[in-house]
Amino acid sequence: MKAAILGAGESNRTPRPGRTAIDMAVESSLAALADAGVELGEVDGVVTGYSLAERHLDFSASLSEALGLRPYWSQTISRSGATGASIVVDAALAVLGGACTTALAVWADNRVSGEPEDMAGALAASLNPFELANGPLITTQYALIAQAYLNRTGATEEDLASVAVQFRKHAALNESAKYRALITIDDVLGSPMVSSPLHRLECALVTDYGGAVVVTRSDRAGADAVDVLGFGEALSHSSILRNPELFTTGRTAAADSSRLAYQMAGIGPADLQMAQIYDCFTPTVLLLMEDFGLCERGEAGAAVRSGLLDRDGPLPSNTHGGLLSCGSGGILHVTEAVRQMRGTAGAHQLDSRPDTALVHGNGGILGAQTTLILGRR
Amino acid sequence: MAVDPTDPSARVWQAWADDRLCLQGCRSCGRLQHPPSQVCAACKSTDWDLCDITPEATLVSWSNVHRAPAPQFADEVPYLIALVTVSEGTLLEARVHTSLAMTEFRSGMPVQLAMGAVAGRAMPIVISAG
Ligand SMILES: [Zn+2]
Repeated sequence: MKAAILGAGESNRTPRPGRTAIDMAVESSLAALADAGVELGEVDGVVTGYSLAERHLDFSASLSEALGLRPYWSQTISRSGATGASIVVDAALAVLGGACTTALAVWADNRVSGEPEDMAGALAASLNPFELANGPLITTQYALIAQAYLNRTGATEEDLASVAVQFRKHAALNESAKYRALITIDDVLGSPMVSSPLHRLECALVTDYGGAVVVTRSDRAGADAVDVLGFGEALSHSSILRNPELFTTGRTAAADSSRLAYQMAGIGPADLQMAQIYDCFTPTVLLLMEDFGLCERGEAGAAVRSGLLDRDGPLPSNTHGGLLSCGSGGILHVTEAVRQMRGTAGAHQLDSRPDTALVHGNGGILGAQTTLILGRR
Repeated sequence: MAVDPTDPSARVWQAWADDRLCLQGCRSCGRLQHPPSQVCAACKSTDWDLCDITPEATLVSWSNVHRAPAPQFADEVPYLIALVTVSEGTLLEARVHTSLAMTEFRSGMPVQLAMGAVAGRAMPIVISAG
C-alpha cells in the first residue's frame, strides 16, 4: 500500500498589509481540495509547517479551526527548509498507519506581509552560538561549503551561477513567479557579493507563500492521482562544524534520504523524468544533484551548464523557477511537481507530463534532508 | 555570574574569556568536540573536560562577508571568516586577522590561531599563515 496525492493548491504570494499566514494556509488548502475534488468535510487529518513571521502555539490547530475542522490527527512540523517535503511524508505515514483517512499537508508563511520585527533573530536561531559570534550570515555558512566545493572539484563561480540562470529561464514562463526577466551568468556574477563566493542572485527570495496537497491511501485514489512511490529522511547535523564530510567529500544526508526513497520506490536516478530540488542557494543544488546520483561528484556544474535540468532537457527541474526566482517555501516544489504530473501547471506546463519525479527538501545548513519519489498512475 | 560546571558551552566561553586556547575534549575517547555538547558524538560518553589546543591549524574554507547579520558587526564589513581544522575531524569557525589576501588562500594551508576578540567577545582567531 502506498499513499497518494489527490491535488495541490497554492495561495497568491503578492504581499499586502495585514495578510496573515493563516489566510494563505486557508487559501491554499481550499485550492488543493478543489483541485482534488475532495469536500472539506472529508478531511480528518491536518499537518502543517511552522511560521517564522506569525506566532502560533500549534499552527495546525489554528488552521483546523479556521477551516472549521475537528480532525482526528493534527501535527505542526518544524524541519526548517525540509518542512515542505517532510509534511508529505508525515501525511503519508498518517494515512498508511490509520491515524486518519484524508489529510491536508499545508505550509504557509507571511514573511513579507507579516513585517516580522525580529526576522533576523528568527533566522539566527538556525546557527550555533559558536558560529554566530564570528558574524556569519546563513549565506556565509553555505558559502563556506561552496568555497570548499570549488577548491575540491575545480568547479567555478560560473558553474554556481548557471543554476540561477537555469531556474530564471523556467520562471520566465511561470506567471506567478516573482522574477521573470532572463539573466545571464554575467548578471549573476555582477550582482552584489553577499558572502563570497555567493552573490545576491544566488540566494533564495524572501516572499509570502502558501501551498497545500491532499493525501490519502492509494486504494482510495483515482486515475489522476499522483502516488507517493517512496520517501526517505535523514539528519546529519545542526552545526556544519559537526559534519566535516560537507568539506571533504561534499556528501550530505541527502545521499541517505534519496537512497531510502529510491529503494522504497524500486527505481533509480536514471528512471526520473523530473526533479524539484530545494534551491536556497546555488551550491545547494550542485551538492544535492551529486547526492541523488544525477551525475558524478564534482560534475554537477558541468551537468547544469550542459542543460541537464532544462525544461527541454533530460531532467526538467524547478520548472516553476524555484526559491531562486519563483518564491519562498519548499512546499512549492511539492505543489509544482503535482501540477506538472497532473497537467495543470498552466503556461509553464511541460510538453509531456512526467511519469516519475523526485522532490527534495533541505533544511538548516544542509543538515535535514527529505526526498520524495512521486509517480503517475 | 558563576559558570554552571555541567554546561560545556558555558565552560568553553569562560575559558576563552580567560584567554585559554582550548576546546571541549572527551575524557573517554580523547577526541575534541566543537561546538561542545553534553554527549561525545564519537563514543557517546558524557565524561568531558576542557582541552588545550596547539595554535597550529589547517585552512579548510573561507568567506568574505559583505553584509552584517547584526548591528554589532556593521562597522566591520567586509570581514573574512575561515573554517579551520584544529585536529582530525574537529572544525572551528574563526575570523581572519592577517595581512594575507584572500587570493593567496589555499585549501590545506597551515595557519596559526591565537585568542583574540570579535565584537568585544573573546574568540580564537586566525592570526597568520604558516
Ligand atoms: Zn568520546
